[in-house]
Amino acid sequence: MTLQQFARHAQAWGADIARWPESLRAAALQLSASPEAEAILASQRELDTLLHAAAPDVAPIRVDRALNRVVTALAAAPPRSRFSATLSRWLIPAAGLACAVGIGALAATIGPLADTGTDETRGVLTMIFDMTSIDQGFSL
Amino acid sequence: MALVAAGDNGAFRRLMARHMGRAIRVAETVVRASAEADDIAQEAFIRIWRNASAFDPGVARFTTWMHRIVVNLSIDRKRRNGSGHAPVPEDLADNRESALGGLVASEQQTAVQNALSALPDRQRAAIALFHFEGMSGRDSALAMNLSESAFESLLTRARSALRQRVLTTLDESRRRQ
Repeated sequence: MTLQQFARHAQAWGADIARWPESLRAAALQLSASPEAEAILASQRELDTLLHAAAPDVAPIRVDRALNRVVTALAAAPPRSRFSATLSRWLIPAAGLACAVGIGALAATIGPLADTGTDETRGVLTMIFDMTSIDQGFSL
Repeated sequence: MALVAAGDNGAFRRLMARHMGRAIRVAETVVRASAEADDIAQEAFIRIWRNASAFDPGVARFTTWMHRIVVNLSIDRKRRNGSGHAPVPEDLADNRESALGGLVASEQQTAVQNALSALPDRQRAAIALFHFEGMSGRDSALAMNLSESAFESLLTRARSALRQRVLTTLDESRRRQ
């Protein structure tokens, strides 16, 4: 890291190198002992201090009032039922899975027993599905 | 959050009690008006309650998700209200000590508040997340839907503009004295 890069990062992240992105910290710490780097950090520290004092004070009464208003607003609104939360989280995926299993089971049960095809069709199907006629070359 | 997603009112109250102050502070930094900030924080928590099941702790921390909602609501509100010069909040300039010697703390704070008000909304949001809330650069970037390098650029612009304005104001003040 050059001194110029150090100055650029200090301008963004401030004087506290511990708050810089992790990827920059080691190189920044190495440079930070130099007088030039110290001057850069001192200059940024002034701004950090001013900013620390500039955060809005939020009185506890405002927090309580806001909290109570949210509770009141939600109580007046149609309730978000536990059922809808459960529905979106579990029932819809579970129903999808159950449908897939059901369709699969139905196909497995009905499909092979259906005898609506011609001899030619059955021949083709037998050729495809009759695994005993195929030397698979491996065993389970 | 899992309890909140399951509809646990008590868990939601505890979550609000822990984070409402932060939400109000970020909103107030962006919109520069305390009543509006309170509204925005309330709206944010109503959304959090309604969309709790959409929160994925594998993607972001709760605070990052909450701040993203607050920042988006605040910037939307400012945009709707017009993007003029933001007012300086009336109750912000207090007498806390500061580093620059020889100048009255309230004067410094007024200068900083004026400089903050003159920043674009997104730059103010960056200052709020990184400096006021103490979030990491990475989490702040996530909350603003930016890459870390884009957030660094935003913060650089914000700090440079602040510094310039504060120094100019304080120089003018020194000359008047």
